[in-house]
Amino acid sequence: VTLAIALLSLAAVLGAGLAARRLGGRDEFFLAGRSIGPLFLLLTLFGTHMTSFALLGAAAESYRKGIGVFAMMASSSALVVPLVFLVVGVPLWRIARREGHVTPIGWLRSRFRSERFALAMVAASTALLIPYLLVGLIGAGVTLQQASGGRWPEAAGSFLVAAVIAVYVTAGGMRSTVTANALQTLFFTALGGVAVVIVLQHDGGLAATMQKLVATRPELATREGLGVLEVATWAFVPLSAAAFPHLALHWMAARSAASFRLPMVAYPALITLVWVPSVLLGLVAALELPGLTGPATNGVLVALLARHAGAWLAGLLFAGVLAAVMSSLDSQALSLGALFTHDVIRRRGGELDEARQMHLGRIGVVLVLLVTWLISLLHPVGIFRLGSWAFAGFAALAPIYIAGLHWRRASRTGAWAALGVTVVAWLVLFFGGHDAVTSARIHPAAVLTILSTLALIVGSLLRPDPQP
Amino acid sequence: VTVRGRKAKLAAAAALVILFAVRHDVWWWSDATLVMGMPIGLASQVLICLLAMPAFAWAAEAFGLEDEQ
Repeated sequence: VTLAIALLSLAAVLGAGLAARRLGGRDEFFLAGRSIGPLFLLLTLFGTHMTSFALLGAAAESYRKGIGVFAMMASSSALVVPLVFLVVGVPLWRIARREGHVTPIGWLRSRFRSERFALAMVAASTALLIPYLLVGLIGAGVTLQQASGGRWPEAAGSFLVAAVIAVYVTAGGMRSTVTANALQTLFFTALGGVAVVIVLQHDGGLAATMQKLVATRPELATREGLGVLEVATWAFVPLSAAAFPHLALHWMAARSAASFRLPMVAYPALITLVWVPSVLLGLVAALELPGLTGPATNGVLVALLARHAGAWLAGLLFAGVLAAVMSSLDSQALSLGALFTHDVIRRRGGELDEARQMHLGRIGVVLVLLVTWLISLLHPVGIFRLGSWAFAGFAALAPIYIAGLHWRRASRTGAWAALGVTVVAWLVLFFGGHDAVTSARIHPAAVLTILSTLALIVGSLLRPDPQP
Repeated sequence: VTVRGRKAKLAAAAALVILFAVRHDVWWWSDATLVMGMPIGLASQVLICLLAMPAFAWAAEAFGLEDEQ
């Protein structure tokens, strides 16, 4: 039953993605004809941004550390991400519409008038996105392996998921991706609510369960396990949304500036709808399944749902996890395909007609998924740590986008300085200072973003761009 | 930008800054009192998320997103 539900969800997503495709030119393939309205923009942005961590990881963190995980990761996103839509998304949409850019890097090239800087940003964005893709694909493989009771090897599950994504993204580009994401977002957002109602009803309701928590595990009902500085510096992480190429591609696909209003207003509500059930279920698991440590805590949600509702709800959970994973993976693969076509091949090989651009985009998507799947077979050591550090790298690139859009004096030298400092500081902290940062309970995103901002300001003031 | 428009933008920005500051509610850091069935440290964060919705609606209006096609 569990595996059948998970496979059925894959078939539904594939069908929705294929049904949505439309014939058209380059803008239709990469940007859905710049026609995405408010509701689909909200659902696709949320689905792209949320990963399976919002379901499984949030419950596991809540099991270990208590309610503080919501303040650390969810409420910060609820405030910062819609602000990023306003401060970066809307202006980028305006410029892309006016100047015809297809990727955010295309705008950076024209803003800082540097081909080399644009290529360096493609390299940095790709290097940071690959670990993120890997974490998702490995997670999808593990999910299908668990859903099949261990009969399916992890590699077969991850290959199936990558193949399904490759089919609908290459067939319909952005429009198929947006449609699939909308379906996936609705599904995994509703899932948490249904699960928490079933589990809490079984346990006598929310108030009774929380009273029991306060009586037996009071430390989980407070934020004593977290430092104030830790929570404050985690707020830098959602700034990464400003530099995600996969979110930028969706912004550029919007129909109008007014289309951003609903995503801005409803984003905090969707965050609450997804995260509160996960946090509450983690707390219930701490009461019912105490004593788990290490990687075993990652499975608390699956174990709890299997205990309360049997195979069908566990099957829906697996389908929800796949939906959350795939709604990010498809957009990431499409964005890398777009960067590959427009910012690497097209710039190097001269002008290409629209049919060839779309053809190259499809090849790029398939290559990204294939290479990621092949790397996933190696199960690189420390990939999950690398995945979380990728967010810190993207957050440190955010000042380049923000200053490029809002500070006229931001110069090419300043942008290079910010990128250079980000790369060097990221490598130094990741390989040499990881323990120091974690023991100080500071998220590296804060350190990297502050350093890159300073580099951008100093570089821009010391060496302004010559007036055209 | 008109004076009225600038004031509306500043007011929307101020509302978001206040919400962001209140998010670091250190005064309830170690308090396990239940409010609406949830520990106060969780209930207060949920309330901040819900208050962010009208604040962003205000910001969208102040920055003229509604009128721009």
